[in-house]
Amino acid sequence: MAVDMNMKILIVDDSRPMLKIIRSLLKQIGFGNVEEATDGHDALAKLNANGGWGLIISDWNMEPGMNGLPFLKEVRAAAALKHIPFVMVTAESKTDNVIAAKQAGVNNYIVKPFNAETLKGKLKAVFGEF
Amino acid sequence: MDLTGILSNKLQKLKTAKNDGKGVNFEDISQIMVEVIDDLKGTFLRDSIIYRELESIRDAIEEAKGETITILSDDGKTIPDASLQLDAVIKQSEDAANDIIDAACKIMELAPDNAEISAEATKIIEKCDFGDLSRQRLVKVVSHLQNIETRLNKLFDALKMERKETDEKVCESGVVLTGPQLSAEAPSQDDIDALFDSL
Repeated sequence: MAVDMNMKILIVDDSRPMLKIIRSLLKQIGFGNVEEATDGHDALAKLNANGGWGLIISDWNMEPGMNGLPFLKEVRAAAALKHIPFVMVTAESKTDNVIAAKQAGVNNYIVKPFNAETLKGKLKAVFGEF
Repeated sequence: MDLTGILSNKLQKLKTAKNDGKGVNFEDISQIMVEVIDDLKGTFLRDSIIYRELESIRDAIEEAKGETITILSDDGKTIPDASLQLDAVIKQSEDAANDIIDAACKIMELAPDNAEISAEATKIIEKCDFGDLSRQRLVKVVSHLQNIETRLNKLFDALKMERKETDEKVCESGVVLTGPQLSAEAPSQDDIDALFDSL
């Protein structure tokens, strides 16, 4: 899968510092076209409002908002969204969590805390070299 | 069994004893009254407003504590999960603060003659006391919750209420969410990658 460095990326997390961190790391890697959402509901609204999304990077535990797993399932169930690569970035690291995310259709899985190198590596695993 | 049922049972015992010609003595009546009072205590209290309020408090504490605090174990010893989690928070905050301070100092070294950069880097360093302040507040909160929990558990035992031991959150998909694991137990990204690629 070729990567467009200007693709529109949606980052989803209920933590404002985490959104800043991910945005900053993406910028370091070379991706500057980033929008933010604070939970699954907010993200779905943004995804459905405008098209052209190239990637979703989402947290899992975002209660009381919509968590990352049901958000992922909604994305994979929607004809207009199911093709969008989805990377889960989460503190949930138990085997059952990884299995559940993979079965739901996640493209890759990053555990927090992480750094730019890890994020870049996972994006390369999804898109190929860039 | 409700109050009417309890009293009926006891009265029936007395009637039966009388009908059987065994007679009913003071000790028999005393024993039955003691049993009635004990049963009434539990039944009445279970139906009382106070009991329902206590249940609400218990449920609220269970929701609030999440994974970080467990109730007293049956042998009365506090399972030290709360302090382990708190220690992990403190250590991570301190490590992060140290790294941030080091980076800010490095920035100042790289631009020693730039007053504006020095001022901003200084602000960063100053704000790195968040870890210490957070830790102090967390310690207080955990302590308060544990005190309340200890007192409530004693009351629950006295009222013969059930304890709830739920420190796992099950999300709507049926998967248990446990949050960040302690360092000693947490898998690395490499472990996660190996699992992910094997699926």
